[in-house]
Amino acid sequence: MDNFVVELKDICKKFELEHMQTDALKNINLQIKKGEYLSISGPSGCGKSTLLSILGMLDAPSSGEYLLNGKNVAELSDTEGARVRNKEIGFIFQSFNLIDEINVFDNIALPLSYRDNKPSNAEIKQKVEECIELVGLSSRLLHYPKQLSGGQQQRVSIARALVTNPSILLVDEATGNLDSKSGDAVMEVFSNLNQQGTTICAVTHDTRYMDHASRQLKLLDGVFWQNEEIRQAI
Amino acid sequence: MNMKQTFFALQKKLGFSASFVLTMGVTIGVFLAVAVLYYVTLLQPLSYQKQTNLFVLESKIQGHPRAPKVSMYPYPVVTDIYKHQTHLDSVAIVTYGDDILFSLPSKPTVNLAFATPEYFQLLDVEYELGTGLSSENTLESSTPEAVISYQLWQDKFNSNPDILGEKVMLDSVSYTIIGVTSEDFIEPQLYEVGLKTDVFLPWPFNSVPERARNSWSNFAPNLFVLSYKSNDSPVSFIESQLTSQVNERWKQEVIGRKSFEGMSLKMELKPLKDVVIGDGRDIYFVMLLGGIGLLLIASTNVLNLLISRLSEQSRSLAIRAALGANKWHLVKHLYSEVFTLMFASLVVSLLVASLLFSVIRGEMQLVFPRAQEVSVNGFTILIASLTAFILSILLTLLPSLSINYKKLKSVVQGSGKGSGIQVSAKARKFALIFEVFIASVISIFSIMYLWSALAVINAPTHFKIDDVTQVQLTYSSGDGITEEEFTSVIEQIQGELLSMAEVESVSNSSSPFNGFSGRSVTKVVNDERFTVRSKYIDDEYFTIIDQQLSAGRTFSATEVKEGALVAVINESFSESFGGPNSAINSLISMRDEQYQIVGVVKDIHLPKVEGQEFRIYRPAPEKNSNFIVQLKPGMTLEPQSILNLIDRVNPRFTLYKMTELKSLYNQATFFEIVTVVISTLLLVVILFLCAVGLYGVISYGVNLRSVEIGTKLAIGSSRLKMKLAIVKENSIHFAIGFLSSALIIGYLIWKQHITEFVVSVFISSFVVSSAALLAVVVCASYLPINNLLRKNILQIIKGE
Ligand SMILES: Nc1ncnc2c1ncn2[C@@H]1O[C@H](COP(=O)(O)OP(=O)(O)OP(=O)(O)O)[C@@H](O)[C@H]1O
Ligand SMILES: [Mg+2]
Repeated sequence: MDNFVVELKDICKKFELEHMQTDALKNINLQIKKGEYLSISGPSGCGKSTLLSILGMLDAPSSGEYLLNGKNVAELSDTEGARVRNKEIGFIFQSFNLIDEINVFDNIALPLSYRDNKPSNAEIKQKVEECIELVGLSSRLLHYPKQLSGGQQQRVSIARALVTNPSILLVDEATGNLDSKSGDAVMEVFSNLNQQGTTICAVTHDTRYMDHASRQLKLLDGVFWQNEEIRQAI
Repeated sequence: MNMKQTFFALQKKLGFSASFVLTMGVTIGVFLAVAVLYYVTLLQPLSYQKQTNLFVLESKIQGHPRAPKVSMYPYPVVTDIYKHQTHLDSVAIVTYGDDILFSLPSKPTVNLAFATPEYFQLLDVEYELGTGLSSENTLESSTPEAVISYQLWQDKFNSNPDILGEKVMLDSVSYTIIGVTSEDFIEPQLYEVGLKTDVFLPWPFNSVPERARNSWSNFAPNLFVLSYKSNDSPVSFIESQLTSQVNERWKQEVIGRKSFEGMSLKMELKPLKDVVIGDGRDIYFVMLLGGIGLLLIASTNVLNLLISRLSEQSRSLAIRAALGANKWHLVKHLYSEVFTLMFASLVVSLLVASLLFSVIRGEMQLVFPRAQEVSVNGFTILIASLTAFILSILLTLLPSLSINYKKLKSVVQGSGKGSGIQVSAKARKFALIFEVFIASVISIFSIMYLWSALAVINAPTHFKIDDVTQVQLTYSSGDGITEEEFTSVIEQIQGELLSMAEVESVSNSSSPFNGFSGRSVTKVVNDERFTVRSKYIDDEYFTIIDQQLSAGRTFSATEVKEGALVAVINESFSESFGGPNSAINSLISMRDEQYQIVGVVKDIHLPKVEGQEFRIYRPAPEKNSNFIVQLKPGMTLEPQSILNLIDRVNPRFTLYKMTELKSLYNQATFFEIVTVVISTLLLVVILFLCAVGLYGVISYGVNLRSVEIGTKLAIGSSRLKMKLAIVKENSIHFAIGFLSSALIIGYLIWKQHITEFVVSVFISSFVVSSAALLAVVVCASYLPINNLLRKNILQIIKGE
C-alpha cells in the first residue's frame, strides 16, 4: 500500500450553484503507483479538471478520502497543504497559467521561492537551467510569457512543474491549446520524463496521445468506466 | 520578496503607483508637519539649559472690574523688583522696542531688546563672536554696548568677522558691538510672537519716556521680569512674598489717589515655556486631529486602491497559491509592493513636510511661537518612517483579509468562477461609515474655525481703512532738537503732504490701530472710577477715518493748537453717563486735570478686542511724528516721494514706516487669515478625498451586485428605482457616520466653554458640512449605479 503515490477512496465532488447541484465526481476510487503514467480521458464536462484539482489539492472533495504518499491531505492545515503542494505536486494547467509580469526564468523559479529553506541563488539558477533544458527552451530564459508561442508557454509551465522534483506530475489537457506539432513535442517530453521515473497523471480528451501512457482510464459523468463497459453501455 | 520584480510590476501600473504615492506622500507630509509642530511647540523642552527653572514673573491688576487679563507693570515696579527682591535666585528685566539703524546706509528698522546682563546668563546664550553684556552694567550707569543677532550679522554686516568694536548708531546713541549671538540661539519671544530681536542693548537705554519711568500709575504691557528659581523654593510661597513686597511699595506711591483705591498687584510666576507658547494650545491639538483624520481618510482610499489592485492580481495570486505559496507568501508579495510604494511616499512626505516647515518658519512665524524650531531633522524622519512603516503593515494586512485562500487555489483551474478576492459587505459598510465619520469630524471642525475666523475678519471696524495710509517719521541726527524746531518741521511736512496731488487730507495722529494707552479716569461728580483707552488726536482725525459723531462736536483746530482740556468719548463709555447726550459737558479727571466732554463718537471695533472698550480722545498737546493720510480714491503713495519730501523739509528727519490701514488691519487679523486659508484647504482636500474614497467603495459594491441588479431589472424593476435604492442605502450610512461625528463634537463643545456664538457657529458648521457631505455621498453613489445601468440588461447580469 505504501507503494501508491496517490490513493482516492470514494471521492465525491458536488458543486452547488444557486439551488442547482452538480455532481462532478461520484464515488471515485483510484490508485496511482510510483513511476506510473496514467492517462484519463473523457468528454468535455465529465469531471477531469475537477478530479485533477482534487489530486493537486487545489480543491477539496465533498466527501471521501485522499491519501498522498500515504498521508491524508484532509488533515493538513492551509500552510502544510501549501508546503506539500509545493514539494510533492507538479501541476501543468490546460491554460498554462504563467505569470505575465515576470520572465521565463522567474516563472520557473517561482515554486522554489516558496520553499521553507529557500535554495541559494546559484542553486536556483542551476535547477532552472536544468529544467529549461529538459523542455528545450534554454534560449528563451529572459523572455516574457507573452513573447512565446502557446507550445513554448506550455513547455515553460512543464519546466516550472518539474523544478521542485515533485512525486507526481498532474497534467490537464497539455496539448489542448496546441497545434499537433507542438503537441507532439510536449508529449515527447512527458514520455522521456516518465522513462526517467517521474509519476504522471495526465488528463485529455484527445485520444491520440493515450497510447503514451502505461494505464488508461475513461471518465464519464463523474464515474470511471472500463473500456468494455463503455462499449456495452453504448 | 523580489524587489526587482516588484519594481517592474509597479512601473507597469503607473496610474496606481502615482495615486498611491501622491495620496500618501502628501497626507503623511501634512500629518508630519502638524505632528512635529505639536511636539515642538507643546512637548519639546525650550532650548535653554536651565529651562525647567526659568519663570516669568507676571503682574496682574486686582480689584478692578475692567482690568486687563495680561501682565502689566508700572516701570518703577519692575526696576524695584530687580533691585530689591530676594526670593528668586536671579532676575533679569527686559523690554522691547524698535528703531532705525542709522549707521547703515540702508537705514533698516531693527528690533531692539533692552535687557540687564542677567538675561544672557539665564538663557545661557552662546556667541558666534564676543560676549554678552558685561555684568558691570547697572540700572544707574551703563556703557553703550550692543550684542547683535546672528541674523542681523549675516544680513546686514555680511558676516564680517571683524565686527567686534564697530559702532552702531541708534536713536542718537552710538553703541559698540561686543558680541554676536550664535546661530543656534533662539530667543524667547516674550512680547510678541514672531518678533525677533536684532540688537540687544543695556536696559537703561530703553525708549520708555522719562515721565513713564517715574510713574507708578502708568501700566505697560511690554516690561518683563525673567527669573531663575532653584528647585527647593515653592512657587506659591515666592508669589505671595513678592506680592506683598511689591504692593507695600506700590500702595505707598499711589496713596491718596482715588483711581487706585482697592487696587493691588498680584505677582505670578509662570514657567517660561508657558509664556512662550501663550494661549491657544487647542489649535495645535485640533490641527493634529485634522492631520490624523486626513491620514485616515487617505489610508482608506489607498486601501480601496489596493483592493482593486489585488482583484486585478487575483489570477497571478491564484497561480502562486497553486504552486505552493501559502497565505503568508502571498501577504509578503503584497507587502513588497506596499512597502516600495510607501518608501516613495515617505520621500515625498519629507519633501512636503520640509516645504510646509519653511512656510511655518517664514510666513507663519507670527502665528506659531516656536516656529523657528521646526525642521526636518532626525526626529521628523523617525516619525515619518514610523508612520510609513505602521501604515505599510496595515495596508498589507487589511487588503489581505479580502483573500479567500481556499477559493483562490481553485480559481486557476476554472475560469471566471469568482475571483477568490472579495471584500465583505460588512467591511464595505464599515469603510463607508468610517470615511463619512472622519470627513464630517474634519469638515465640521474646519468650518467652525473658518466661520469664527471670518467673523473676526469681517467684523465691521466702524472706521475707514481704505485709501488711508499711516506715515511715521523719525528724527535721525545725533544732536538734540528743540520743541519749537520739531513742531515747525512737523507742520511743514504736514503742509507738504497736503499739497501732494495724491493726498486728500492729513492728520497729525497715529492710526486707530495704535496710539491708545491705558489710563485711569474718574467722573468728577461722583468719583466713579474707570479704566479707559486714551489717544491724542488732532482736528482732522475723525474726518479722515470717517468715525461718526453721535452727539456733540469734535475738536476745533484752535483747541488742538492750545491743547484745550476737552475730550471726546466713545458711545460705550457714554453709557456710564446715561447715554451720548447726557455725557456732553460732563467733567472727568485724569492725572489731576479735568476735561470737559464735548462730543461722543461711535464705537470702533479693532480685530480681536473682545467686548467694547471705553475710549477717550483728547487734543494732542504737542506735535508728534505720526500722520494718517487720506488719499484721493484710487491713488497710492510712493515711499520714495515721501522720503524726498521729508529730505526737502529737513534732512535730519526720515521716513520710519509707511503702512496702509488695510495692511495694518490684515496684520491684526493675520492669525485669522491663516486660519481661513488652512481650514479652507483642509475642507477642500477632505471633501475630495472623501468623494474619491466613497466612489471607490460604492462602485466596488455595485459591480459585485451586478447580477442581482440585472436580475431585478430583468423581472421589471425600473432603472430609476434601482438608482434611488442605491442612493438611499448609502444615505443611511452617511446619516450614521455624520450624526455620530456631530454628536461627539457637540459633546466636546458642550463640555467646554459654551457661548451663544459657539453654538451658532456649531449649528451653521453642522448644516453646511451635512449639506456638503450629503452632496458628496449622493454623487458617489449615483455615479457607479448610473454607469452600470447604462449597459444593457444582459451585460449587467453577466457582469461584463
Ligand atoms: N466551480 C464550479 N462550480 C460549479 N460547477 C462546476 C465548477 N467546476 C466544475 N463544475 C461542473 O462540474 C462538471 C465537471 O467540470 P470539469 O471542469 O471538471 O470538466 P472537464 O472534464 O475538465 O471538462 P473540459 O474537458 O471541458 O475541460 C461540469 O458539469 C462543470 O459545469
Ligand atoms: Mg477541464
